[in-house]
Amino acid sequence: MNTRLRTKLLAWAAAALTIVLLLGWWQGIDARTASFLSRPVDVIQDLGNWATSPDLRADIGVTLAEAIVGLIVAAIAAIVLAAILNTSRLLADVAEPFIAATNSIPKLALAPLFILVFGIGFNAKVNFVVVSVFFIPFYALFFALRTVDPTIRAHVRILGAGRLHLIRDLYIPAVIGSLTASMRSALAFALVTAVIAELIAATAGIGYQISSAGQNGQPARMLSGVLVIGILGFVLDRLLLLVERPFSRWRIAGRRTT
Amino acid sequence: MPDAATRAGGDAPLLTIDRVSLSYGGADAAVDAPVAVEDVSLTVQSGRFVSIVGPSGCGKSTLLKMVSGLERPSAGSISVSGTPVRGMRRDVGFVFQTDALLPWKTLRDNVGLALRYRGVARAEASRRAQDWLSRVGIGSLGDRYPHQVSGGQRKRASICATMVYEPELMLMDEPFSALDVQTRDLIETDVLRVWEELGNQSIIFVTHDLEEAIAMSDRVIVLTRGPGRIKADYTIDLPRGRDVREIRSDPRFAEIYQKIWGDLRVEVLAAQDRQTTTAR
Repeated sequence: MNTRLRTKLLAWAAAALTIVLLLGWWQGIDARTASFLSRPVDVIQDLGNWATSPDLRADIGVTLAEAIVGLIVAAIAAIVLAAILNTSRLLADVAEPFIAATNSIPKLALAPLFILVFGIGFNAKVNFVVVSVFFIPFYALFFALRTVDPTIRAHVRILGAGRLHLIRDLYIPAVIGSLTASMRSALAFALVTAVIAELIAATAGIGYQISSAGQNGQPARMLSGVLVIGILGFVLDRLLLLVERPFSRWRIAGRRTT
Repeated sequence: MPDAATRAGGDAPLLTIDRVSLSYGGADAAVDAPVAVEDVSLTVQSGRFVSIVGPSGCGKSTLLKMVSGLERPSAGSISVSGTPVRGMRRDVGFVFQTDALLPWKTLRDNVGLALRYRGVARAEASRRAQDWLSRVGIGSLGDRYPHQVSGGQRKRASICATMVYEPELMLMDEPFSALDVQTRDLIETDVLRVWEELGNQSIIFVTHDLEEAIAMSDRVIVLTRGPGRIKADYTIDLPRGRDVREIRSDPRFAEIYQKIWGDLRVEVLAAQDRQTTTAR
């Protein structure tokens, strides 16, 4: 067994031990603490109950739909706005401070306004996610487009590239790395904002379940809700990585040969 | 056909630069604004290798950018093959000082790009790109990405990317200044060989290195310090089929060098003087 593998196994063993110790300590807490913190066994049991009822699937569906629809709309809006603003230096310079100001508004503060305008249904959640998430892909794209190497652009234009060639061969490959990287943070954030919106006012979704469990004194359900969100976020992140891979093939090629 | 006339060495020039100036000075001039040139007139025939030398900041790169259509002169006119330059054109190629290859395309795809833009089918473009890579000695690197090869190999590929569509006029803006001397000598000799094989292509080569200019060229033009004007125009009558390293030990080389350096030195010193004065 080589040293590298041994180090890796050791790290895994240490991590597993830590988890077991933590869970063990948690399981062993006194009854009073358990009344608001629950216990691992109760959480697992609750998750089992929730999973076998039709509710869990419906709740996941609602939250996922809000997060993903919101994310897609935000990404499309970001692509369109970043592309438009980069057609002219002047336009970009004029728009930039407005965008920075909007970005610094805490979106959570807008939640009551969203409820007022869009109600407490699906629409309100999606809009809230869009507004919250938009700036992550937007800034990534805006700066990626701004920093496209002017020499490479001149080179490709002199070679005879038309507008569509430039978009296909220069702009898209130049920004795809930043876009997919930003989409990973945006995805996590979309899930978080969808849940937050549900916590504030909702009739369905994981966030709604957590919030009503809180009101009904069911700590196990609250924690299993949090667990479900964590698992969802992780799975979606891995899926996004799979989508990103073909676009970064040229980068990976370097690591293999040099 | 006008083409036939130029090929036969007729006297219609390939490139005509007529009293061209470009000046800046507005408050909104960008930081990377090119350096000014003033009242430059120049004609270049087909099949010539012409170098432009001058102190840094004399506007020699600006002149090239105007010929390529990347910049517009504020006065005067430029025409290539008898038609005025308005924006970019397909019979002119440009090799930049820094790497300009697309990092996400293999060397072969990079070299085939200009052909693809001209409607050549993928397989044919790829075959011709591979031919060119082999011609400059990097035929085995077609599947590599730019960052996987050395600076010299990237430069060879950059030159192929432009040579592949055989532009009648090739503009080179200090293309080898970032390379080490040994690599540079080898690439320069290869460029001369390929250019001689093509026969009727003209190259305008901008450099601050006088030795390089003489070794490569039929003609060396000296610009004054900025705003650049033409100070002198020398014909280099060294025999062709040159090896840029060997040609330097030719006694004629030293003679020509001394003559041109006399002119260039004054401008370089004056430009440096000005820099130190403004720095103070």
